Formats: sequence, C-alpha cells, structure tokens
Amino acid sequence: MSRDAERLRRGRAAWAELAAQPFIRVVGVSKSFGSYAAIDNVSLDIYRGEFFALLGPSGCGKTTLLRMLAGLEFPTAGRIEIDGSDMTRVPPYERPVNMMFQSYALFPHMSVEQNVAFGLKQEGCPRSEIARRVREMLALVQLEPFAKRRPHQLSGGQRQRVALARCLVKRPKMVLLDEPLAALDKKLREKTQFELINIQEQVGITFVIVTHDQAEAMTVASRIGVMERGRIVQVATPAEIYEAPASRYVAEFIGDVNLFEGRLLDTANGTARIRCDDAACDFLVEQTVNAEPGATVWLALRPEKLAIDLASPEAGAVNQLSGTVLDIGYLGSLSVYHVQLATGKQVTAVETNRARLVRRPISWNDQVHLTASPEAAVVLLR
Amino acid sequence: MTAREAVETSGAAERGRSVAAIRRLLPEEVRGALGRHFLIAVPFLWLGVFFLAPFLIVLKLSFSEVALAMPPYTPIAEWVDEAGSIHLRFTLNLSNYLLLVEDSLYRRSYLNSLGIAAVSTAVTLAIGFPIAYALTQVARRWRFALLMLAILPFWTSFLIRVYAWISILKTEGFLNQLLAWLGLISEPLQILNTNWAVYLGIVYSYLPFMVLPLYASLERIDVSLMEAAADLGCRPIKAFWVITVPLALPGVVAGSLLVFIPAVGEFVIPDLLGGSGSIMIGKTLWSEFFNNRDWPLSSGVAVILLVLLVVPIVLFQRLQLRRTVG
Ligand SMILES: Nc1ncnc2c1ncn2[C@@H]1O[C@H](COP(=O)(O)OP(=O)(O)OP(=O)(O)O)[C@@H](O)[C@H]1O
Ligand SMILES: [Mg+2]
Repeated sequence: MSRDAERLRRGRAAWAELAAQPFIRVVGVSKSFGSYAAIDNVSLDIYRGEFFALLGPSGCGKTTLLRMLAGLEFPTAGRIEIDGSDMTRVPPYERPVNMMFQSYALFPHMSVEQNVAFGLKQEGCPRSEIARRVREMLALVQLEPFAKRRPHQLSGGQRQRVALARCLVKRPKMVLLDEPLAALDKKLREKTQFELINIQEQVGITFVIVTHDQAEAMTVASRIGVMERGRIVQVATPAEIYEAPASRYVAEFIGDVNLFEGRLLDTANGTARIRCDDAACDFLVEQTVNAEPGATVWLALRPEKLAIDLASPEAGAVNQLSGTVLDIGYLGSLSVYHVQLATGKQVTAVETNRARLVRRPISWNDQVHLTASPEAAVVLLR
Repeated sequence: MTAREAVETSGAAERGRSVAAIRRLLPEEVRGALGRHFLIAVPFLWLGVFFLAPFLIVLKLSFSEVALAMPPYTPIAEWVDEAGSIHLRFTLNLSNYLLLVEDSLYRRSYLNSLGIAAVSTAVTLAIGFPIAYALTQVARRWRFALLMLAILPFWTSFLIRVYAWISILKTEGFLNQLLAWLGLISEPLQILNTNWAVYLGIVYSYLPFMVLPLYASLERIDVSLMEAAADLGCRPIKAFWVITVPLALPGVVAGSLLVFIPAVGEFVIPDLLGGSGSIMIGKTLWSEFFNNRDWPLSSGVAVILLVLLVVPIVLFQRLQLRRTVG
C-alpha cells in the first residue's frame, strides 16, 4: 500500500493538511459549446492518492470536466495544472493521465493483451518489459485466462476490467473514470466498487471518477465534488456532504431529506432557534449559523434522524411534530413512514426494523409523534 | 391435412388463410423453421434461375464445337441410330480449353485484364479512401448531400459518360486544349486509345463502388476509439494507421472486390477508350462471339474467367473465416 493510501486510511487526509500541495489544480475553468456554458468557472484541487468523485445530475458537465482533464477538450477559459505543470493546452497524447471511457472504447481488432499493451507500445517500452507489465496488470484485474480473447468475446464486467487495466498499466499520474460501472448490474456494480477501491490502494494512483449514482460516490470516494449546471457547489468527504450539506440542492441530491422553510429567531450559545410555519414548530438546532435573526433559512432533517412513536413524548421535549400516518413502505430492513402534519406538510421518517415485524406497531391513519434531537438537523442558508 | 382444410386449399382467394391454417397445425419450432427456410429459399431461387442455370448453359456450350448450323454449335448429347439400336451419345469436346491454354493471345488477354484491373483497383482505393474518410469527418448535416454527390454520376447512363470521356481525351479534345492553353504542351497528347485512357475510365466509373463500402465501414468506427488511442499516448497520424485502417479493412476488401471483379471483365471501357493494343478479355470474348461466331470458344473464355475470379474469393473468405474463428 502506498503512503498516501495509508494516510487516507488513518484519516489524516491530505486536503486537511495546510502544507499539502494540490496535485491537480483546476483554476477558474470554463467551457462553452457555442453559447452554452457547459462548465462555468470551476475551481478544484485534487490531492495525490485521492479517490475523487464528481457527482451530479445528467447534463451538469461531469464528462466535460473530465475530458478537459484528459485533454480531449480544451477549456475556453482558465487553467489546469497537473503535478505542478500547466497542462491546459497539452494534447491528450502528451499528458500523464489516462481515461477509462464510459463505453470502454476497447480496440475491437486487438486481443485483451494487445489492448493493454497498446499504451506501453506508444511509449516505446522494451518488448520484455511490456510483456511483464501486461502480465502483472492482467493478474491484478484477474483477467489472465482471457489474455488472448477479443473484446467481443468478453462479458460486460470483464470488458470493464480490461479498460481499467489498459489505463492503469501506463502508471499515469491520474486515472479518470467516466461512469465506469454504469453498464453493470447492481450486484456486480457493488462488488466492482470495492475492487476499484482495492486496486486504487494497491497502485496508489490518483483516481477521479464521474458518476451520477450517489451511493457509488459515497462508497468509493475519499472526497466528492457535487456539481450543478456547470458549477461545483460543494467539495467535501462523503460524511460531510451527507451530514453537513452546503445547500438545499446538495441535501436533496444526496439521500432523502425533509426540508422546512423557516425564519431564524436567535442564535444564542451556538444553538439556533428557527420558526417553521409549515411544521408549526420552533426548532432548536445545535449549529453556529452565520445569519441575522429574521433571515429566511431552511432546515434539513434526514428521515432516519426522526424518531417515530405512538406515545406522546414527555413534556419539555424539543423539536417534536405530530401527524397521521399516510403511507408505510416496508423495505425489509427498513420501514418508511410518510406522515402528514396538521399543517398539511408531508414528512418522511425511517425506522430500522430491529425486531421481526409480525404485527406492525404503527399502522395506517395512526396518530404519531416525531422527534429529532438538536444535533440531528442542519440549517441551510441557500 | 384434414378434409376440411383440403377443401379450403382449393380456392385461390382462400390460399392465404389456408396456409395459415396449415401452419397452425404444425408445432411451433417447425413453423419457425418453415418461415426461415422460405426466406432463405428466395435468394437461392433467384440465384438458381438467373445465375446457376445460365452458367450451366454456358458451361455446356463450352464443351461443344463450332458448326454451321442454327444455333452455331454441335450438341454434346445426341440420339444416334446405330445398326438399328437407338442410344444417347455424349461428345465432350475439350479443344476450346486446349486452345485457350495454348494460344498466347488468350493468355495475354487474361493477364492484361487482371493487371489492368489490379492497378485500377489500387488507384481507386488510393483515391476512394481519402474521399470516404473525409466524408466521415464533415459535419453530419453535410454528409448526406456529399454522399449524394459521390453517387450522382449514376444518374447518367454509364455508356454516355464513357462517350463523354472520348470527347475530353481525344487529340483536339477538352483536356488537350486546356493543357495547350496553359502552355504546358506544344503538341496534343495521345491519351485516347491508350491504356492510360482505360485506367482513367475504369477508375472514374468504379470510384463510387469503392467509396460507398469504405464510407460504410469508416462511419461505423466509434470516435471514442481514436480518443482512447490519443489518451494512451498515440499521435493522431499513427492512430489512423493502427486503429482506423485495420477497422476499415472489411470496407477495403468489399470495395476492392466490387471494383476488381467487374473491371476484369470490362468490355465497354477498353473498347471505346482503349486502342487496338489494349487487349482485355472482355474484348476478346466479344470478338469471338460476334466476329467469329464461335459460341463454344467464347463460352470457354467466360468459364475460365469465372474460375479465375471465384477461386481467389473463396480462398480469401476461408482465410477470413479461419481468422475470426481462431
Ligand atoms: N460537444 C458538445 N457540443 C455541444 N454541447 C455539448 C457537447 N458536449 C457536451 N455538451 C453539453 O454540455 C452539457 C454537459 O455535458 P456532459 O456530457 O458533461 O454532461 P454529464 O454531466 O456528463 O451528463 P451525463 O451524466 O448524462 O453523462 C450538456 O448539456 C451537453 O448537452
Ligand atoms: Mg457523462
């Protein structure tokens, strides 16, 4: 395992160290197609050995940003640095970067072996070294028995591993993966996500992965950049993105959330008090909020952080709501309760089914009480 | 078939329904097979009637002898009355083939034709590949119009276009006038009635047959393959040779065969544009048939031509098959 990967493991993250130099620097990059701005003034730092995920809805510019890192597209404005050198206008065949294409783009007239060897041949590597490195790489992705096959004789998952081997074998400074697992079924995708993490730790190369699957981003990435219409709206670790989203957009994009609009009443002692008319409740949130009292803010409350109960909570409990159960979704491991408050607003709460559900304690049309602790909610200003 | 259905079959108007009725009686897999066999049978029937049968007639003819008769050849099978007993007598006459092998005129015609066709195919490929490649590089909305331009000459009769070349190439023709006007030549060039004119005619006439299959196979190549090659450190010009060209090979083969095969047997172009020196097998065949009225010999010429063309194609296909399977 490389030193960087080890550092990530131990939680001493590179991006948290002040002295750490970014490995890839994207500085004020924009890209327009005609009059359409696909990427709008994006700045981003990625550190050595990171597994960085770009996450966003379809058409937000993830592929475009990745292609600019690969040199397949040049920015209209801004600068891209890789390992300290300016790469903004360097063509792809001169960049120390390899990309794994969404369609894999394997050469159909070459065997698996030849596909993997292609990049090394371009470098003018000696024949014996090519053979050795290709063999090692095929062993890493467990494709040795298929070395002589053509791509069309492989399954989707095997093709995906050939594509990965082909871009890793050159030992690039950075590997770019554009929705590498989109073509795989759910089971295989989850298995491959962990394989990807393992491989990344073994080779210690910086990975940038594009995905629109938030679970995938949270599984594989050390940090996530969330994109919205050509801009990056938040860059943080998966846990931060989930627990402390920077905006309503991020909160809604990652996981499920109950959002309440409210007015900030006061912010004494690191606790914010927010009046939410649509919940008919004054919420207490342990969070330092940088806003004047009276400002409009939003309260984000994840469904699993709401406790649901038939009995009314004891007097003096904070952050409590009550309503009637509209609908129950039984997912096996979880039950999802859709509750309608007296104000008409619908709220979702999730409970783990810790005991076997023989008889449901909470049923349709029951009057229920929802509570959230002051640490559970997040106040959003945007 | 039941009696009721037999009755149904009798009416022509009912036939469609009765076929359906019969098929309903058959098990699923047989029904599928029937449809499949019918579909496959149609082209085979076509080939049988319009290709195999005429070929067999020509083959039979090639084993006859010239005769002053109508039709002008001896039959190869004949009823004879010998000493009172009537029987069928076969006469297989190999002299046509012996002559074709022995007489250097025919050998030279064949070799000339193959040579001219090979050179023309190579030139057509050299011109057609860049055209087809350029077609795949222009914006999509222009492609259809440009493809139409490539096949536009088909709107005019082939014969008329070849005649047009005569007036361009002849000594007082357009080309010589242009060159003289530019001051490049002082005497008119003799192009018409030489092999140059034949090459020109063949390349011009068959270019679309090269461009279309090449375009079809080039267009199918995923652009991301070129991007992947660049990403792996391969410069664009090299990527063209190691990725684009090998992937366009099926188009190269198809286009070359489409040009080479008809060019070998070409008659109109060498006859109109070539001189007396440019003997091609098509011309030889024509004069044997129409000038000498030697139907059996010209049939022999045709049979050998076919063998010369079919054998390499079959061998090539075998090779292709082995390469894809292996
Ligand atoms: N070559 C191009 N010409 C014009 N517009 C383009 C081009 N490439 C991308 N775009 C536009 O730029 C925007 C961003 O595209 P991009 O492919 O980066 O999206 P994405 O985030 O990768 O989406 P997806 O998740 O669907 O792959 C889209 O609106 C797209 O229409
Ligand atoms: Mg994309």
